[in-house]
Amino acid sequence: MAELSQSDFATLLRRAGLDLSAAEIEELYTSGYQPFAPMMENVRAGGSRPRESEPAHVFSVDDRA
Amino acid sequence: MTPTIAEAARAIAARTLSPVELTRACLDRIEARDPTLHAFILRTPERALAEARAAETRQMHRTLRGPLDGIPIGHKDIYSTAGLPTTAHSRLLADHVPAADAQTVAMLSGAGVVLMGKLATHEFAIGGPSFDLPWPPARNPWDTTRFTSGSSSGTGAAVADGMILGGTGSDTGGSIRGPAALCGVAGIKPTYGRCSRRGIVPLAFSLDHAGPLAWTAEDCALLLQAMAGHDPLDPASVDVPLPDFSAGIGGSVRGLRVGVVRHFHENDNPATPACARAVEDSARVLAAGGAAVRDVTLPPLMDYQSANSLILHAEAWTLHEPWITSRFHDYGDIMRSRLAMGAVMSAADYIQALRRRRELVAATRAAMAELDVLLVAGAQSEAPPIDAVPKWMAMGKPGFLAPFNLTGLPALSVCAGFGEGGLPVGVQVVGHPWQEPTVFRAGHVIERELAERGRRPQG
Repeated sequence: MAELSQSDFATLLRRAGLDLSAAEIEELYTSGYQPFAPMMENVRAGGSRPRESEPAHVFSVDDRA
Repeated sequence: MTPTIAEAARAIAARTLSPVELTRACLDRIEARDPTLHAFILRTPERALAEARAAETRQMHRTLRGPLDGIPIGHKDIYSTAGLPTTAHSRLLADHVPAADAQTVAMLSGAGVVLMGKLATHEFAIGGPSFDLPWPPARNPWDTTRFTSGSSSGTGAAVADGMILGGTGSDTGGSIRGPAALCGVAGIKPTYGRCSRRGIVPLAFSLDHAGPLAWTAEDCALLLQAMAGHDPLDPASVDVPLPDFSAGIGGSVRGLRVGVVRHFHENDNPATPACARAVEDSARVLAAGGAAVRDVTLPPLMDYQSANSLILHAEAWTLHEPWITSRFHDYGDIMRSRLAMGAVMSAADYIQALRRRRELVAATRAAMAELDVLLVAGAQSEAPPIDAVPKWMAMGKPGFLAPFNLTGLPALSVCAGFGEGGLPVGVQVVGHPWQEPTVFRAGHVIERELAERGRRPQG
């Protein structure tokens, strides 16, 4: 998975609806996203996961609405 | 000294303790100590005295509802309370007054508890300790310059200080067990689905757990007895039999199979000597009681942390999206910064985290196949200075608590002694799904031998 540049990061924040200052974006990118990104890589298990691997579900197929 | 719930319940039943006198003593303690500790967002003394008088009437008529009747408690301020503000410690909900109680609040009220007020939390159970919110953060009663941990910060502080005998918390990545460890009290995150989440301000649907904190494991068992039970209106609630959670308290641990997860605190995120010693001391007292203790290896801590963190951020972002995109600066700096990470995740990131979750649940359950409980460090260190807690503390360094949110397993944190500076240290006892009584049994033994329950914060 390619890491986001600060510019890409700013674009995603904007797309999500956050209109932030350049200073705020830089702080979020440097202090928040930099340690966060490895966790996004970690859950991919190095790409070794079988295609049919299911997610954990909390959905239950009964009529409790 | 503030009695335990079990002690007070026995005295109330024997009519040697008045619920009104007990409540007045707690109100006096709150009056004296809360201006420093900031454990309460809202105090409800008139309501407390009215409820205490009602309990006393039942006491006189011998119609007590059970061991919680007349017991002063507080609710974390994400638990909805009908007619009382429920703020989530946030400017966004400063004027929010729910029309109905959370299911667990109603269940505790039905058991006769006396509500002393609403307790401080990290903003929306994630953003803290924050100094830019309408209310200050709670402080640790063992040393008021220290952090309580969070997010059930007010509950941890108020219970440790003896302002209340017990209280409610919520736990999405460790928010019951963290304050329990740093404040030197007991707190249980029950099995996912054991307690209703209905009426509790959510943080992350698939990780949120409701549970109690109290001075002892026994008191947690008594509170959990009133909080647990199937709620058909909570989609995650599970209809399983309700055991007697106190059944194992005082019981032997002979033959109990205990797995010590040493690599978490020795390699994955090295703990301070006092916190590491708490695990060793706990293993020793369980072995001395006849338990079969051995080491066990789980997947790396960072694997759990990554999946838990991604799921939490994605679900929390989804919940807050309408408000954070329009009122970003009304949130505290810590809350809005952490929440923003959820804005840059893709759907694939979230689903990959859920796939990893399933794998980690399977790996954890396999490692526990020949064990009854796990013994895990409760914290990486004793309480740090509150003004030195990093804004991004949840990033990078994996904590010892999130694995059991991810796996949904019941996890109890109990005090296991004190470090050199006089600050408490805790350990976790983790069980199989729905096996809280076993967890309480082991936790009680550790606490009895190590926790010095006669020792309270000075002040």
